[in-house]
Amino acid sequence: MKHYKRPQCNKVMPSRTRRLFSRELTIPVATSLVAVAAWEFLVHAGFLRAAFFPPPTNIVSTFIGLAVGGELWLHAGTTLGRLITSFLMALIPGTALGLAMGWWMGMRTAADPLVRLLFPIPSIAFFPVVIFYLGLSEWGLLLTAAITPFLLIAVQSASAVESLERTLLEAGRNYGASGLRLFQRVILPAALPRLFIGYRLALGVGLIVTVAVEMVAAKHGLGGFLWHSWQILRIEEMYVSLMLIGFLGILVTYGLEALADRLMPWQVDLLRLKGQR
Amino acid sequence: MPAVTKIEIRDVQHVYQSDFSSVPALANVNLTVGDGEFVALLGPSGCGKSSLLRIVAELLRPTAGSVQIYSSTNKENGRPKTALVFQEYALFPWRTVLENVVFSLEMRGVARAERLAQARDVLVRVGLESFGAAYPHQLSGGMRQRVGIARALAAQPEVLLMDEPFGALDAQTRTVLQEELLRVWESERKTVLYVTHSIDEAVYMSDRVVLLTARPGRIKAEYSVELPRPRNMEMRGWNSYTKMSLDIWACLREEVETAMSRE
Repeated sequence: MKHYKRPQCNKVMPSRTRRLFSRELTIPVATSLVAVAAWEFLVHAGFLRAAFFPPPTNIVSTFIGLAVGGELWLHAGTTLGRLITSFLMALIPGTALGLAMGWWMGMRTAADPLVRLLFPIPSIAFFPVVIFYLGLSEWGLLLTAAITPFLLIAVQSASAVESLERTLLEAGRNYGASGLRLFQRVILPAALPRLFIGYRLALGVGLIVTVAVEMVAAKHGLGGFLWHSWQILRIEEMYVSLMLIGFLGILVTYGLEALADRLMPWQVDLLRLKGQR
Repeated sequence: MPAVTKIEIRDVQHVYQSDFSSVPALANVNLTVGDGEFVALLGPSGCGKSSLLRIVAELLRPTAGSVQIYSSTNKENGRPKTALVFQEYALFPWRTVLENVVFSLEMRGVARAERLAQARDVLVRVGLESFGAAYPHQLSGGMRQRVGIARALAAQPEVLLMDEPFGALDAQTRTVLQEELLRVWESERKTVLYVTHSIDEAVYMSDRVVLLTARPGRIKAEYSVELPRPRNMEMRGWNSYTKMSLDIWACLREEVETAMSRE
């Protein structure tokens, strides 16, 4: 039985966590620190107006104050929750529609014009239509944030199926897989790397739209907090929320990558061999 | 030719139909392969040999005609009729070597312990016992095709179908794998339908060489290879080997030229 275990690819190269502390990361961290130091200097030297560009040290102390108060985490948690919920609302039906479009020509012909028409419309532009039906509710916000990611995932999933290697399908069929099992054991794993391309893009777009909708229509969440701080001219707080939105983006991207590595251990090693990681 | 018929290909025709054109790939192919016979299908590129193999594998439905594969026992034993070895290997990249080899047994519902034991036996036979946990991309082309062959053997098919299995390999690796395949084949003498465009390979491996014409493919000639088994490298120097290769080339040349003139 031992023999059957999946190989540990981690032994070949350091794990994701260990690579965090490699040279690949020390250099970008150093450049960021230099940029922040320059900002600080320019404000104190009088080249930047502190009213619009508060010195980073002030932003950090505001951040600490808000972090201790706990309010900030409520906003960050709300945005994160919305992002994940709307992402799942996009992912599940988007993948299903895309796979169907890629597999059945008729489905493609039927759905393609609509997808093409809706895709270029910014997700936020659907907001008025959505609140028309759902009111200014949490669901209205989530649905708006899910629309473009949904279309993006559908388009990418369709192309994932279309670019499946024909011989892999033939091998699956010839070796006894058909119907649902062909889908589960051959089509889905074969398409997975390309499906994840769509998921990565959709997650990025999802964060943009979530924050945008929050700015327009929510008291809570980083977008709402950002808009509120601007309106009452708490510039430091505005910068804090900007930074946190950036970190949230990094966090969710990192989480998705970790999930991808877990679901596709063969890809981790393959991409490293190709030098893409 | 052995007395027991294994594959019967009757009046098979195939036309590739699209909205804009129809390309006839096979025109009236009749072929009978005996149990335990190693038959090579030889022809110019694009003559429909791969299509014929896919029709036998039931991956492609012929426009007309039929293919019958006779089971070795009367009882239903769950063994698949065919197992196909692909030129591009077509291994599942998300599965380890052992998981690839075990695939058909898994699909057939063989119990886990049983199927793993069987798959490991096959890996030993093709010399891959220490690579069970590797992923296909970690292996060289020659090793990958060993996995492809192991996957086909593990399925225990009635008939082994091979579509230019060594066509993507370098000449030295190809020679080594030809010998290995023959060695493995000697141990159970399974019926093999072997597509190739190499005369040398066809003569060296098979009991019978079937020559197809340029598109649309039909059977042009058949040659019985009288070399004794087990085959070995020395036979490639024999006069009868050389003469047969030259005879086949004389017959094939015209078809190759026809195929080339169309490109």
